[in-house]
Amino acid sequence: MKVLVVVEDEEDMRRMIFALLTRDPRLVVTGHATTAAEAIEAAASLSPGLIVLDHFIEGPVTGLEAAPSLKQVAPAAKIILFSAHDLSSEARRSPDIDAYLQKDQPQKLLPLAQSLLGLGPIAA
Amino acid sequence: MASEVKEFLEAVQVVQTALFLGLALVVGLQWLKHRDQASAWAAATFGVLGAVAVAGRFLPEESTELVLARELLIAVLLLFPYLLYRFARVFRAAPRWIDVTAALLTAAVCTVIFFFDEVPGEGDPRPTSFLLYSLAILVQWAFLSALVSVWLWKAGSGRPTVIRRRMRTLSLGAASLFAAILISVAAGPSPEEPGGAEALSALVAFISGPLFLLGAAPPSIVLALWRRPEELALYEAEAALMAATSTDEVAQGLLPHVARTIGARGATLTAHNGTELAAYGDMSPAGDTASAPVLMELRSATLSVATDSFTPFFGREEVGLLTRLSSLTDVALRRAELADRERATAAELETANVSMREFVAIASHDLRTPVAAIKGYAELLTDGSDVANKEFAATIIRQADHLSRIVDDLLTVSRIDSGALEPQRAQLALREVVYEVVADLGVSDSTAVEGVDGLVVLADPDHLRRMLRNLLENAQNYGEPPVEIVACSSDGAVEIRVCDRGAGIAPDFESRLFERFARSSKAISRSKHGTGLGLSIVRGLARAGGGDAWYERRPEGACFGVRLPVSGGDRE
Repeated sequence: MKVLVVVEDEEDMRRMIFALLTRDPRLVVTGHATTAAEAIEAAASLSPGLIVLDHFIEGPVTGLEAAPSLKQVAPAAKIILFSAHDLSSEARRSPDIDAYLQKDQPQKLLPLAQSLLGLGPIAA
Repeated sequence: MASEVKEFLEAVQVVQTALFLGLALVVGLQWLKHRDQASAWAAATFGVLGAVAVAGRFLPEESTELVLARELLIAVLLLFPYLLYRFARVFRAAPRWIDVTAALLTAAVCTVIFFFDEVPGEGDPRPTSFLLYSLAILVQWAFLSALVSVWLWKAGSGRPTVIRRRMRTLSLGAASLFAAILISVAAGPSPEEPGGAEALSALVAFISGPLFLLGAAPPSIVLALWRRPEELALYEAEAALMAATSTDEVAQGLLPHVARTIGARGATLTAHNGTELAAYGDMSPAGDTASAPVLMELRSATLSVATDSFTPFFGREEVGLLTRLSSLTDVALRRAELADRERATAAELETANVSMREFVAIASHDLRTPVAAIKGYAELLTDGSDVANKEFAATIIRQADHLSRIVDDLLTVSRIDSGALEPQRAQLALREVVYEVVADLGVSDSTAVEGVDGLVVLADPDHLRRMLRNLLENAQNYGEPPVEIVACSSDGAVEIRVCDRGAGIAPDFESRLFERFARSSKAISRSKHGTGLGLSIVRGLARAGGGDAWYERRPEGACFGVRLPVSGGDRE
């Protein structure tokens, strides 16, 4: 079972991400956060294998700004920057972001998560 | 020897007479031209001198029948220092006692002469009464000449060269004429044969002529020589005006040089609506030498120069030099105004661009987020078992994808227009990117790739993918297979051509290919999914990355090219 943390301040998006990821029974979302501080606390306590990180979240610290701290408290966690903004360049430049996916391609979220966690697709 | 001295003195007096007469005529013409108070007193002063010099040449010395004429000549000559004093009084105030003393002294010496039965000639003994009278003349002349000399000499301090030299040469002229009289009186009665003192007196008196001429009415060539230091300042002013790009710079380049050229205390440049554009120095009235400011009307402003009472007479030609600057100032002000407007427009444009960039950032998030939610939940609906619902969900996803592409295109175009693109260029192996895009689009079977091996381009990876995707989608949607992607090096860049084998582009549509929202009627009928922004985006991204995009007419099909810079890693 792979533990996931979702950092997303919009309720609808958070539920969508939860539903998309848990289509794979091997993944379990045990924590969610709406601010960078909550995300760091959750990552420190849960040691997740994957963090799905939005960029524009509540509070003064953005997702990209929080990524280094998340890696510090959960070094083993892979981080997917999942944002409606075009942040491909910023994500490429950040050593703490393992993958970037724009929100208008939600169908790619699960395959990307499985890939980062070393899991193959779910058997039909 | 004595006859040689006499001949020399005779020659000197002839030249002197001509000089004084010429001076009187020149100053008289000045008064006729300018009709101001200073010119009037100058004309009177030197007119008297000229008249006395000429009359003295024709009045026989030995005649006893023309005593009255000689006395009249002396009386008129004695008016000279008083008239010179009145000329100097035009420029500055004096205590009333000086005015009264000057007038009384002059009236006295001009009147007393007529009480003498005869005027002693050369070699005649001088009675005591005449000696006392001579002393009175000396006092009158010394008092008034000294006053005028000191006034003019001191007033010349700190002034531009021409004004200063005119005032001081006049001062020296007055002093030399007095010195000549002093030498003559001190030497005593003239001997029958002229001696050294008489020669000296004549020489000193002679010097006064050119000095008065240079002071009162200097010739143009002398003015040009004297003006040279200020000419340099004028050239500097002209250069400063030519280089000025703002009203401030025009004012800073103009006002100090204007003040320096005519010795003004201050100067201002005021727009015709009353706004003061710039000020220099002190415009307040200067004590007892106050004078109305000199005003020069320019096309878009008024130049006001604070002078004093000496400037209108002694700086008349220098004020005229200002007209040389005025036309240049008009041009400079106009250019500065245009530059100011250009800067304001650029600032407005930048503000608009900043607003646009902020809008794009906000719209990017606010438009994409709902689309993401629509697609995401539709994706989840496809998990259900109901076939109809799955189809409906697939349709929702398809339409959301279409909407997403439109949003993407619009936001990209907005970024291109507002300069918010900021390409993150990197060295890219062209082969990898091309095959990745071909695979993503699922057109590997119908697309031939040639020439990409070993080519490296300097481009933003997302932009390059976008350009290739747009061209390939166009080729698939509006052309016919097979589609060819051909790359090659050319003049330090890489050119990538995407060509199809379809009907090509209608000739009348070629010129509009890269316009926004331009779609040919054939394109509209074949595909309902295009926004007409694809090619516009390809060109915008190519140019933002230092390259370009174009269309090449081919015998068969359409061919679009993209040129991208290289980083130096060409074909192996």
